[in-house]
Amino acid sequence: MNELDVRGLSCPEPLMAVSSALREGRFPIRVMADGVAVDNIHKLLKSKKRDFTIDQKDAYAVFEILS
Amino acid sequence: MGLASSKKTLALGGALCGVVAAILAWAGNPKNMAICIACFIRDSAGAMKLHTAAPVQYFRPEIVGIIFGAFLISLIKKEYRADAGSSPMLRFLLGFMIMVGSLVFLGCPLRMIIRMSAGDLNAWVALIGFAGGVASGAFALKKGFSLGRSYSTSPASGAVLPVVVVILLIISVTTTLFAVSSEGPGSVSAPVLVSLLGGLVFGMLAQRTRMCFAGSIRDIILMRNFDLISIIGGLFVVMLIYNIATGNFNAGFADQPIAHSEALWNILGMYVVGFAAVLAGGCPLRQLVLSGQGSSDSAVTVLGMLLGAAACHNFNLASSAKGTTSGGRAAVLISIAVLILIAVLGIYRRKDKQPASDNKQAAEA
Repeated sequence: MNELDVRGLSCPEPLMAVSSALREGRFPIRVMADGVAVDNIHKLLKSKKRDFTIDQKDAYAVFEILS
Repeated sequence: MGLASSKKTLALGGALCGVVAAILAWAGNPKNMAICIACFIRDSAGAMKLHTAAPVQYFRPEIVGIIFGAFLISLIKKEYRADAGSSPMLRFLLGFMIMVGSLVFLGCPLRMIIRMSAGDLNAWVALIGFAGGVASGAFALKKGFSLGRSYSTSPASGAVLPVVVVILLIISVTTTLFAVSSEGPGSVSAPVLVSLLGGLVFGMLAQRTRMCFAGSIRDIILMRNFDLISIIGGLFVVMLIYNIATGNFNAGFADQPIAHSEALWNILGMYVVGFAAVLAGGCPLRQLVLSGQGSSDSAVTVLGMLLGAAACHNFNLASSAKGTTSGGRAAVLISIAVLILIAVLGIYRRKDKQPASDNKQAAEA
């Protein structure tokens, strides 16, 4: 499991980290994100038509990106 | 996802912000200033006598409105999140330098767009510097620059700035403790209630759309993402229409309101603003909005801007319609050197990866 914790990082670091993980392509990728980054990552994954799930916790969200 | 969903709604959000800016300009705010964050923080610093430049002292309700509007809407939308701890003193410095650059150019990125929409070609020249600064910041980010993580903190910590500015506004309106300019830009303003309402609406829209002037160019450079620039486009178009309709559009370099024509220093001033804003994660407007939705780090950046503005006027760094000052020019050059240093140190810090304690604290959050 390729794990990425981008919680608390300023924009656009979370998105850049996820983008480069996608490019590396070691799936599955688990991403923990919070704040605006959750929306941004969600949009990025949708626009790239990735296979993923979101689990919304209290203060953050966990993405599991399968491919 | 609110307003931050499609380019069309984002452009509409930007257009609505443009309408607010136009109303504020029409209701009496200084020419081509409308709702300039840097100018208004500078005026507010003067009102609180942090500096004593007589023409630029007025506690601007727009600033209060933007911070408090973002605070309210983030509470309603459950996006309020008190956090802190991402290199606050570096952010203070970045805020300080954002103000140095802004006051040498005479405007924040928002006013740069407003000046551009009124035909002020000096602002178009400054845009080159701003984009160059953003590109420099984006390059640092690409190399791994980071100010580090922020962590959850007491919800009260995030509420300090939004509450304090409201109290200051009440003091400003009900007492004579604060200074008010009798001439100059500080004496020119829309009625308090219009200013406050305009600020509130602007702050709410900016919070929902994530509007950011530095971010919009940064996202194009780093991710070929045009979402944020569509907001700025909407604002620009509305202000352009307003300026043409009211006869305020006047293409040229000379005799622009509260502006100077020293191209090199317009470029370098906005270079500092663009560079510092990207390292700080957002332009002056975005810092106000983030401070409203609970970020103590952004609140510290705002304090840096406030003190930066005071220093610019106390030590004669700020430009005027007559041009730049030798102190201002030196301050811009020093700022560029400091920004490069911060960027290099921030990249270096990342090289040794996140320490174990970093991960542990994040897991607890």
